[in-house]
Amino acid sequence: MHTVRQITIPHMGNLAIGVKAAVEDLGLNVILPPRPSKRTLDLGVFHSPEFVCFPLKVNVGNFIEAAELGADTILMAGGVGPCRFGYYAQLQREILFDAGYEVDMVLLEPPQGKVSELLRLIRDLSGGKPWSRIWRALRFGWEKFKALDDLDRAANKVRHLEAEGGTTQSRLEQAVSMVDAAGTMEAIKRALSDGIEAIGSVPRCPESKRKGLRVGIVGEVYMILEPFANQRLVQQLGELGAEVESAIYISDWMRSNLFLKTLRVSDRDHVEQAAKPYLNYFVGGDGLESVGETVNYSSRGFDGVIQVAPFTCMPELVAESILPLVSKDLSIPVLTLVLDEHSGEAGLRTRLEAFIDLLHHRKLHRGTSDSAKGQTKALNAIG
Amino acid sequence: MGCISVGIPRALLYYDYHPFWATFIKELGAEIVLSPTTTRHTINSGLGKALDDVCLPVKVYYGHAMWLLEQGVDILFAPRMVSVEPRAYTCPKLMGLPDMIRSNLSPRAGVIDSCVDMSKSRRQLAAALVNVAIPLSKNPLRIRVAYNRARAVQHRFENLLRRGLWPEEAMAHLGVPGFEGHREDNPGADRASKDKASKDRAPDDMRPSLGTPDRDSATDLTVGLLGHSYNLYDGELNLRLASKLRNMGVSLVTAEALDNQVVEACNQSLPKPLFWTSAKRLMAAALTWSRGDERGTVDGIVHVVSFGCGPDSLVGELAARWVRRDSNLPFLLLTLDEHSGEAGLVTRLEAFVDMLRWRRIGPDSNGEPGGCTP
Repeated sequence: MHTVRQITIPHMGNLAIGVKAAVEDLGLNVILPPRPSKRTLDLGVFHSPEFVCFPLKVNVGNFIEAAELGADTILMAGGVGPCRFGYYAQLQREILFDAGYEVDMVLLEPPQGKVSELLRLIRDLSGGKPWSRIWRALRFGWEKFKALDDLDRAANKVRHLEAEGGTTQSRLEQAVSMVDAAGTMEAIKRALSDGIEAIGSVPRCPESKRKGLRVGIVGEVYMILEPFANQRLVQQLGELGAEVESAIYISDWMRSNLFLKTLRVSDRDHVEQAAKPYLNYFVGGDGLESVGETVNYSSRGFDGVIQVAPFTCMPELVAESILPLVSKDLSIPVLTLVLDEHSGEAGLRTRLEAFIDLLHHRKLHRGTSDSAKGQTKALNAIG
Repeated sequence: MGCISVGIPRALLYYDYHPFWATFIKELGAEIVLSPTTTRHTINSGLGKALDDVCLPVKVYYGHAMWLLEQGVDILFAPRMVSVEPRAYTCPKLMGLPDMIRSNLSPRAGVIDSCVDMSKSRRQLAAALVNVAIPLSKNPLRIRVAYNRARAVQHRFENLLRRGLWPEEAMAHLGVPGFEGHREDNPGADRASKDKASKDRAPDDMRPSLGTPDRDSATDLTVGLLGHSYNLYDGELNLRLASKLRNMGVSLVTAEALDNQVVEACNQSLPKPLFWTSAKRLMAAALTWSRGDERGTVDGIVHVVSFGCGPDSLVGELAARWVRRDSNLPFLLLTLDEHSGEAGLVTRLEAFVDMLRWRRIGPDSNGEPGGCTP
């Protein structure tokens, strides 16, 4: 009988919280890496190939930091292409091996049509626990994901209205750690309702100071969900006075990419339909969604859209090539942020401020014969 | 009434599938207009329209498409090549290419953007072919005949590649549309290559794609050249890498010489099969060369990648790591983009080739140096 596995999970926003809950509920040990930091990134960048996309590098940093804490088994997802993510784990395994870390990788590959394979893998990992136990664990983790997403949504509705900068964020973080600590379904529900209430009661700024801007975020899933990777984009936009809605929340993403895709059901029809005049085929990753959601934001009357992608991301590059046309056709400003380990904080802040100013100006002068040309020029200068 | 002219950009998957498409389209009665060999002008015009971050081959494709549109072709042939075999894709950028072209170039000509996606079933090709054929001919028999001819030509083309010919050489040999009457010593009959012809280039540079290993005499080294066909066989794009190496007395082999079965067997032997068609071949070549079987021993490997290439950034790294572990074969990674300077390239190639020679004739190398990145 071998020693007990010490399982670790890479960070992607709140991903690790939900997965940890499910895995621990099965009676397994979890050692999470610290939240991504400068050190994580430095380690990742040092060991990874230069031009591979950004998430792989942060993952590698996560794994190394987890291994340093004693983790010996990495739980990682796979894919079937054409996005590079599907082959991440294969390269990461070699990187860790060459760097001298003895870790085992357990891959949750979205099976090509076979749900049973995925379930069997989870069962093997659990050491052959009965299905009812596995189902309970999955439900438990899933409940956390949903709660965390609800908290994020609630915070996004309030952050741009807060009287004092940072109140929403600190209440959100508190609520997230309550959910993280919750050990039962009831505790999760309690943490959620307490959190929603705390966030909802954040003191608001006076009406006169509100900009009334709504910004939609589209792009690559990791870059949207991981605040370290997107430099706290959602928070920054809220502070600048824009209400933010994100095209991707983790529970929705898991539902459509892990469960429904496996069952060959798509809940993305409306997005695909919306994208159709501009891009009528999937291009891997979230490229098609980026185009489709931009169209949807426009028809829902949003003031602007921000696309966030890692440098050299192939699907997002296709979307980025097409978005200028969408922006022009539908007259909605789109700012693309391509980020990686070289992105500076101040530069990003300046671009966001300029973008929000542009949206604000546009909103104030809507209806008047305002210089559309000037706006395009300004947008080109930021983007 | 003249026949419809269909413009085919000499870029990207042209190097892999031109004989098939050109034959098919010509058999349907259209006139083929093939854009001339890439020039600096092609690259520059592509740069002006494409997004900064896309890879150089796509920018080159834009340049070729723009040339064709300027010529006033009736239809631009820009199929959406999603997948050419089950369980593997080309590349997301190729999958979105027609939409990118439409969005960035707003072509006034028609665009054949039929989708080839055999990732689920090879039978999808039939639907794609009918879709391509529709603007040209609606006669099912004619389409069937055209397909059979095209497939036969493509088959012969691929056999020539396996024998070591380079794509355009094989196309000229077969006289596929766009190459009729092309003799190997006269590849620059198109008008744009006249601007390109200049005194400072050796005649060999005029035909970057010519010359097979067995034809090169006086070489003492063999280098395995890895990379996408559109990087290896476009001399302007890769700064005439091939002729530079040949002039240093190196003969070249490429992954195109591998049999499909070898590629497939190698792919199945990996911890997880790769899901990019070109990457499968690349990996198979790297591993075959590093094992040094009788089919071809090489003295070193040069991997040519475009800056920002997604699959290569991952697969190239894996290949390099596995080659380094299996063997002590030197592995040079060359990253190219529109800013690459010729002098820097020459220096690195010279250093690499010198090192290969030194390893071969040096007295006792004590097992070093292993992987080498000059």
